[in-house]
Amino acid sequence: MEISAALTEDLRKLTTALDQPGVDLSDLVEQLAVSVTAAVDSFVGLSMVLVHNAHPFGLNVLRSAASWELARTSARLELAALSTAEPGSSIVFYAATPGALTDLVADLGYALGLPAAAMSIDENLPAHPRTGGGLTDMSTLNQAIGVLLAQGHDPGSARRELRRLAGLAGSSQAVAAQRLLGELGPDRYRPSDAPPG
Amino acid sequence: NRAVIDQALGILMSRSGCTSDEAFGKLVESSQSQNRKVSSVAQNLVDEAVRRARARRQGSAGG
Repeated sequence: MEISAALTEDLRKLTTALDQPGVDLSDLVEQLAVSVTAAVDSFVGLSMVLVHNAHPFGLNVLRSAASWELARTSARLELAALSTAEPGSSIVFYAATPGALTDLVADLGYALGLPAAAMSIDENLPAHPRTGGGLTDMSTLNQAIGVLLAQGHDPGSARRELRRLAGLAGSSQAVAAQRLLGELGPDRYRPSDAPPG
Repeated sequence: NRAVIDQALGILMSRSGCTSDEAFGKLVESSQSQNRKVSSVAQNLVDEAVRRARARRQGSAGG
């Protein structure tokens, strides 16, 4: 698994920079953005909050004026787990390709020694009135398909089952998927005993 | 890649009753311990679940 050493070092420098007089934080953030650009082709920008002496400092870097509109995936790292960052410190990366940031944030978290709970995907997406809940719906649908796969369906029968559930409830497949996910838990949801088909 | 990762999250959520965030954490931990990309770990999970489902159907058909 390749880890961007430059990217990791840039992030470390940022979290220690607040204690160093005369350091230009915006330069360091720009440098970080350059490193991320090299690692993720569809990177569109980042938003960072660094808390120092209980005061938050916010910095944004965008590749272009339209970057926020292009963002289709986000990855957030809680930096408070780093000894040099105070609680509330975080960085969010944005990219135009769904899934593009998953490996990056996993690699960074590992390199920085962050717990898995300090990382999250797609929880900071800018509002996109044009897309509405489309991306969230796709994510929910695919998670529900995963649930059905775990319960013995193959991909084809999983999709048919989701359509069947939606039809029974008179709802969209997205709503049926949400309901399916909401019913998860030990002994909460059991598939039909009949072989899927 | 995102679709496969979401399907893997669904598989983990179904098997352990955890939330999607917890499932993602498990995926990341597996990725780190196996030194593989998250998407690769997710693809393996999905492939394994599909293999099991097809083996079960063949077993049912056989009797």
